[in-house]
Amino acid sequence: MRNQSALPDNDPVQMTLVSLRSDVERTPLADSLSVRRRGEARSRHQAVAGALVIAALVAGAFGVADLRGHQRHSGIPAHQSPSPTASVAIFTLAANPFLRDGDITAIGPYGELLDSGTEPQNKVQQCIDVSASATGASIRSTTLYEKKLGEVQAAEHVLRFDSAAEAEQYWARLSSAADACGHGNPAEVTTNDRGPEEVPPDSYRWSRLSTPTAAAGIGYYELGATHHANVVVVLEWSSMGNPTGDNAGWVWDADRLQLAVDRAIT
Amino acid sequence: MKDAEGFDAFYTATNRRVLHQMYAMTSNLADAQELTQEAYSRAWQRWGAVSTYDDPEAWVRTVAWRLAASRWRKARNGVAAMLRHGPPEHAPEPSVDNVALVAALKEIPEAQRRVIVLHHLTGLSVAEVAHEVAAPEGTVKARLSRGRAALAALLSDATLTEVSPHA
Repeated sequence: MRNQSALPDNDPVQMTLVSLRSDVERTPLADSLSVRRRGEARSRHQAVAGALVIAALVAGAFGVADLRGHQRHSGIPAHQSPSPTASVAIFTLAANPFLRDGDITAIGPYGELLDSGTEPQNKVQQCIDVSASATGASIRSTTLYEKKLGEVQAAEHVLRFDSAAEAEQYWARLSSAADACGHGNPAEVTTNDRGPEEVPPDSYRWSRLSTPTAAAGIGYYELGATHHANVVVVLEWSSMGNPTGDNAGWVWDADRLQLAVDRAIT
Repeated sequence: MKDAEGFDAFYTATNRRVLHQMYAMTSNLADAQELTQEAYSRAWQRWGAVSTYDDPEAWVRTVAWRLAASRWRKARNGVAAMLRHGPPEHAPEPSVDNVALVAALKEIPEAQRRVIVLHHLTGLSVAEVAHEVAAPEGTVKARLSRGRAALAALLSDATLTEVSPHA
């Protein structure tokens, strides 16, 4: 127990919970070597999968892609081909893969986010184009709106790739795009960027707070991206300032990111 | 080159604590066992960064909890959960002494159970719990109060409601 000073010595709830220790002590845990091997196996798998994507891209540049395309037209789904990625689960999207009304009830002064059922009008927010580098993915997008104050612009993009490796590569490219996103014209706005910041286990987020001119419009933009196997979900939020306060909090917290990917798949 | 010795020492020193916390949070020994090991394996993948954090154990605990929360959501769709995680493992049963407590913990909403474990078992202050669960301190205090009341009612133990949260 990390910090018992927060509790009195005779805390009855603590004493009750401590009684579970007898069960814990008879429950075996893997030794540390096994745990490290489990982590390394996942790392190796991710590396192999990434290398296969690069190899496929190189092969495609030399015309081998035509052969692959022929195989697909022959009815052989790419993810069923024998390869080290064959064991990776491939998911289809849920009938409604988006966050549902009521999933996000309140963020700062803003109320519940509702699904408009319409695609976002602005394809590029800041300098990030979610679909630009999503080669081969099927993409579904929707606009989320908030009617209490009516000034939020939010969008959700759900991308399904043929393989987990392609999704992982896209996810990394999007993070790089956020990292490389220029600060715009400093004569017009001042900006304060955060991230890309990792949100364990499978997400990251990036934000830009700007002091806008009248022409610059929205003052706060936040992007969250999370992935599971071959599915990536990208969430965008724009509003007048960071709704969580003094640019310390995040709209796309870990629970909301996880919920979004769960909704996309199940 | 990652510091295997450092990781091993960290794992050995903390894994029982995390297992205990996850058991209290999930009320299921098999889930707690699997989530704990999975979270530590992910910590090893990123050990270069995780080892530099002020509290790597909090990182492991948070990852384990998020994995648990994600599984619960997926479990609401039994077919999808089966496809993604395989058939459910045989869960070790709680000992006779703990059957009532485990049953009571299962009855408490997840959010309340989590803050009770973080505050009363892990020993975090209300402010630290608020930081870890990304909720205002007032919300944490309310969850603690409601969770304790629910636990007390389920266990018929009035003493559980007598403690007020300590900052």
